[in-house]
Amino acid sequence: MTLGFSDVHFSYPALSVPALTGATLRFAAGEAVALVGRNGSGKSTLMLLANGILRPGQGAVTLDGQAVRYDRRGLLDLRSQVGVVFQNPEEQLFSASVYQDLSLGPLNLGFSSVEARERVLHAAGRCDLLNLLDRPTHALSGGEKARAALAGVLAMGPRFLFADELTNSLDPWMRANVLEIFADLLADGCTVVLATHDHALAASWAQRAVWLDAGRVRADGPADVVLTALRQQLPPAFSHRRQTADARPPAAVSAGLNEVPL
Amino acid sequence: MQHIDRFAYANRLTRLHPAYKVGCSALALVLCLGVPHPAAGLSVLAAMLMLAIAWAGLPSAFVLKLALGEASFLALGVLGVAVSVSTSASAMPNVRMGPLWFSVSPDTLWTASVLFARALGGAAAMNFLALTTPVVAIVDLLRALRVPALLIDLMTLIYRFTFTLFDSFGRMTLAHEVRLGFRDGRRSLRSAADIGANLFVEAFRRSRRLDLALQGRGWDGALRVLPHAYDHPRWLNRGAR
Amino acid sequence: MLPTTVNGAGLPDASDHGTPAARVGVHFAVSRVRGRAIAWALAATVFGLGSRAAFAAPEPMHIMEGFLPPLWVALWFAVAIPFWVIGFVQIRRLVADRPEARLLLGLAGAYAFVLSALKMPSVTGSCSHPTGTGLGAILFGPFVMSVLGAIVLLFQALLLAHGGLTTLGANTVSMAIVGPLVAWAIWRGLRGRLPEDWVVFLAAALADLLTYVTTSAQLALAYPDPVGGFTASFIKFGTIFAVTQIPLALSEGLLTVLIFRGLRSNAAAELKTLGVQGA
Repeated sequence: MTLGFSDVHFSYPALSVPALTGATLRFAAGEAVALVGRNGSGKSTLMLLANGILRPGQGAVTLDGQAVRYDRRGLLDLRSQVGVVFQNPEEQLFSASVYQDLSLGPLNLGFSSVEARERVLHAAGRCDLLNLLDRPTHALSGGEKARAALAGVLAMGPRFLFADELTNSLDPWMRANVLEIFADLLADGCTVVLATHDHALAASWAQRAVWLDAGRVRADGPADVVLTALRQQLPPAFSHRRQTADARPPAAVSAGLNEVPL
Repeated sequence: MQHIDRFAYANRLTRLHPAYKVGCSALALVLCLGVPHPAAGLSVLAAMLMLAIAWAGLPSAFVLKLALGEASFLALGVLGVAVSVSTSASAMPNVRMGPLWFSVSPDTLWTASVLFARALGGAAAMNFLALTTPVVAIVDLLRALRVPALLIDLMTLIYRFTFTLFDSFGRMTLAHEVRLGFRDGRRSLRSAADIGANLFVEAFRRSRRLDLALQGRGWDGALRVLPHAYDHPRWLNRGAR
Repeated sequence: MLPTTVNGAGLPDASDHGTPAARVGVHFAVSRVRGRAIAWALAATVFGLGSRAAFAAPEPMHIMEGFLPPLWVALWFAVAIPFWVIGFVQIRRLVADRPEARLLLGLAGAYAFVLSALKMPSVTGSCSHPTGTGLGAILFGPFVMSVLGAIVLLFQALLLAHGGLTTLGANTVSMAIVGPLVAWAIWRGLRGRLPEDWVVFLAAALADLLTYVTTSAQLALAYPDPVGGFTASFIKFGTIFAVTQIPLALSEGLLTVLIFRGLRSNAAAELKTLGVQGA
């Protein structure tokens, strides 16, 4: 099963600069892909196109070689295969009940209550939410909310999962939880595409990286190669400052640290 | 708000089907309003406090404090009913102050005491419902009662986003507080207006992003969800078997 | 969405005046003119506190559960229902045109709820909260507000123990129908004839004030004075509003003008989406 972008162009109506120009990409089953690039480089647009929320102005999004149909049926098909989790989980949970929030997707796909319930429980199990299903959404921690948002998408049983900076605001423990879930999905042959600014994470987690730059695919290939190329483009001030800090902390800083009363 | 909501999710009756709890409170309200005697209200008060403490297992201190607060406000409230005011002397014992005559009659006292007991009982019934039943369960009940889906969706969204907007509201207030935004009246008004406007913009943008996220989950208008499974009282199960 | 007064909003505390006997004593000790003034002040205090307390603790502005007799419970529901029906039909039409309006209205309701927690300085120096009915009516129209307002009132009863189920009809009429209708009428009627700031100010301030006039009328109708009838009772329950609510209404008017200016400059596109005139 593959998800393809062939020469996709997209511009937002109000903006003069195109958000995506001539993107040609192919995602195969079971790939762990990091999507990197600056803010505004087109990562989110790519995800919205993958899920059919946006329609390409030119070019086509294809599922198994078939161009996506943008009618109700076609979109439901696409969305049952391609799931998107957005950056802020807080904004994606519409219900105060985790259980009910998770049930939205399966019911939208037309599953019966019994099947939908099974899917909800399965997704909740995957995301370690089974004991939180009765908890109100507003009582969840940030990591739990991220897992709930993820489970809401997984309950639809997607073969391709796009996660837009989902791990960004999470502490290392919560992030490890999310990465474990990704690992499970990958083992099942699901493709996971993670947009991230965390290049260390991208390098260690992904096999492949796609670098978007001002709406174009700048590089696409093995994660270490793409990220090395990307690192050379980082602003010099950043690497300079980090080197001096590593080598020798300024005297004032170390003195200040010692003076902190305990 | 957080207190009541938290108790609603963490008491012995949380998982009990909301129909029983709404039924209890409704019965109590009917008794309070239907029987114009202070005894009705006071016995409802006692019963609802008992149910809240003994059946739902809520901390008695919290339940009693809530009722006591309401009682003290009510005591003042019924004063307006107990005392009549007029520009001329009436047949009742009068106290004159300036152009006004104040009087108390057995009738007004009776009305006031019925009202006091009734409102106290009614408030206790509401407290019982609010403290034992999560809003989600009440919305589930309304859904089962075939309230239009659109109304159910609005309730679901309003309840959910009240909490997220309160969070944003807290952050915005703090941001103004640390910049001395509430130092005097003028500044407070400006800060309040700023927060009010920003919160609106935030609510609007949130609704857009939620739209995207829900579209991605195949949403096309109605927010279909599965109802929760609720418990039924043990005696009922025994009867059914 | 409901203004409340913290620390009595400049209202003298009952304890300032001692026991009733002491109050009468005051009258005999002072001149006739001053006595009259004091009498009014005392009346305002006694009945003011009384009517304040008629609403639920600790934010005492909704009519409390059980405070209205069955007849008035039914009557105010009967008044509210047509507005709910019209509002619901309007919302259904909005949602049929644009499915995302459902989400926006949900957020709008939550916004109304949270707005009622906004700290608003009153002219008298104390702090209070806005009703938000004026702003809501300008943004969403009075009928939509009657539905959103009723849901918010229901949640306030369930989450804050303010107001109640049987008094939901009466509270909707005062807070989610009369207030918004007044604001909407002023906004519609005066726009273009007065500077916009003035129109917004009048809409919000009068909506706030009339919300409370309605509440006192509702209480006076349910509990007319046995001697003076509805009028005496209305004055009794209404005195407080003359004393405390006018400054609060002014504050809410000012606040709404400032919020509306903020929206004009930061959220012009959003206002346009809502179809707010002139945006």
